[in-house]
Amino acid sequence: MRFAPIFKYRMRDCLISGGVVMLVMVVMTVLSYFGIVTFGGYEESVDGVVTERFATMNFTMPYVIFMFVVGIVTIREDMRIGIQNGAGRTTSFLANLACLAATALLLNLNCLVFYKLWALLDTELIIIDLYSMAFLQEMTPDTLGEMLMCFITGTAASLALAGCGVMLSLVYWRLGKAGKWILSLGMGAAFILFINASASYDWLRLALTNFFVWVVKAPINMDVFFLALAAVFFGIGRAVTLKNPITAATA
Amino acid sequence: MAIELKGVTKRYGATTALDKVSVSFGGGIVYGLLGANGAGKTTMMNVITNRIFADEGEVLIDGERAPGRDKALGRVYMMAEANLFPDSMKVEPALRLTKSFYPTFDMDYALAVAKRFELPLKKKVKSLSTGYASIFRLTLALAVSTPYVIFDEPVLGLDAQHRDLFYRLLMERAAQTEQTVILSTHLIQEAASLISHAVIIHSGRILRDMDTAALTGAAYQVSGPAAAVDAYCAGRHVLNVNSLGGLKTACVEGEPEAEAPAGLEFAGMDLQDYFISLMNEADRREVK
Amino acid sequence: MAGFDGTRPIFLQLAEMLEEGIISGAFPEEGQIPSITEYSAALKINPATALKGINLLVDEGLVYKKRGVGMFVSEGAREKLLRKKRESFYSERVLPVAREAKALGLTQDELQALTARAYEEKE
Repeated sequence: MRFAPIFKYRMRDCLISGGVVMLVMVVMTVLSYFGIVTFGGYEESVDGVVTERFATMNFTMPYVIFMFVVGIVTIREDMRIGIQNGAGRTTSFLANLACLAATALLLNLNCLVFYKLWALLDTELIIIDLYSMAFLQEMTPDTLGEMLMCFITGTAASLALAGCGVMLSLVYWRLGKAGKWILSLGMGAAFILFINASASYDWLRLALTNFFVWVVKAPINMDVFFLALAAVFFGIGRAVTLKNPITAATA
Repeated sequence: MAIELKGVTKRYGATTALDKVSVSFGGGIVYGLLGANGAGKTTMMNVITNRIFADEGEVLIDGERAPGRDKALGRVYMMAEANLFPDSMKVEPALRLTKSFYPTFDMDYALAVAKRFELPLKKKVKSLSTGYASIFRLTLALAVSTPYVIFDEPVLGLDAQHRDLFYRLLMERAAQTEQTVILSTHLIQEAASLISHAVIIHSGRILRDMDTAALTGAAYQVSGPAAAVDAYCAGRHVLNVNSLGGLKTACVEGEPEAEAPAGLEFAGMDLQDYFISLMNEADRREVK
Repeated sequence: MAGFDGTRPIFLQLAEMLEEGIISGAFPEEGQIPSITEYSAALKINPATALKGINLLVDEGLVYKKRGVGMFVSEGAREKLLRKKRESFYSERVLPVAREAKALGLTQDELQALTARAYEEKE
């Protein structure tokens, strides 16, 4: 069984780097709580008297970006470690995927714990979360049910971004020098064309608007959207690994 | 039980790195995969271990199709020049990582080998010099106990003393285990006594696939006055000819007669001479 | 360690090395000789080759195997080898000398005179 060694190695690595990120977030929150640093600070005053003051803290965003980076940097390493040690591509890919999923769960579980603790404190510091931003009036989750929803949506978004990282890393690995340029420029060009197209074609704009309205209409829609994205990204990544040469990192 | 390649072809753009290669490795012996730089040795080993895919043909490991299968791939360990360990990994953790994949990996032996070569265990794999990077990889390959072990240019950057030590360790290991070893190298002279079977590759094609014991009867040198040598060579398979003034030396394939004709002298050929003659002949054919 | 001549089979050369060792007394009768592993490692030769070389001596009864212990020089091996060497002395040494002498235009008497002189040579 060659899944376990890769998983063990990568999980240890993810726990360390994920732990560092969590620690940084906890420290920032504490600093923010005591007003030493302020993120997204907001003050309202009437005649020089502050009537309302709050600062915001955001966990989902850093975690989601972290997952994107982890996806980029780990997949090639895992494919290399795997093939050096007699693991097939499927095994290495799945071990990497399992680690990313576990890390996403752990990070978002950390959010959940934090929200729970936060609810106990009476503070001007508001924790903004992807889910609460989209679906809650008061921005901060209060009930355990709301927190669980935050956890689910956050995890789904983390997976989508991790998948995006994995896919990009693998696609760029597979492509030659010319291919990399074409893809990089092509993505930019396609994006601009798409924006232009959506501006000039009503049906396209309408379809897009309707789609995003659907996404934010219900939490389940958003979760499905992120999970579908994750599936597409990981699917493309897996397809690339079916035939790609596994080469050493060039210094 | 063997690694079998059947009609394996691999192209890189216009160049054919492997051209319908069919060969097998097995039987617990030491093979030499001999060829000049760029002959296709590493490509062949990379195809066997599924680092890359063949365009045509197939690879079987103990009868099982290799690509993507953990069970088949896990039976072959390859030390290659390409470093597949993470950039930040140090030597000792890399040994432990290998052990986690191969429970029968002999850690005590690996540490003993590392010590004899004075391999720095605390250094990052990536920062090792060419010689120590070779030592790191051969330490892994010597301590792993898979049925098949591939050493791809194992002595790259090693000094004479370390090469000597490696050859001794390799032979000791070969005598004590049932492993099938593939020694892929361009250093023919040094490999000659280590191997018992030679696979000679040139421009992606297998030129010879034979027991080294059969080499004595495979080719010989005949030398003497040019006219006499030419007369003798007529109708024989001549691999290579060298002339020096009126004297000529020809490398002839086959077994010499018991007695050399008057005026001519026979001499044996060692593996390196034979290899060079084969290469020269193959190059001449390509030019034609 | 002495290198091998790449143009002759290594197993033959190893067998010759062993025979010389027995004649010189380096490997006394009933004494143990190195194992296949020791030979392969020390001489950097393929174990199959080492085995083949040693088996030549085993087949001739010069060396015998003790299960689980190792290989030993047989009693009377040295005498047997000396006899064999004497037999091959004519074909391998004397005959070529005579041929070479003929090619150089030396008569039989002259060659005999040379052999006599060589015999008297102080070492």
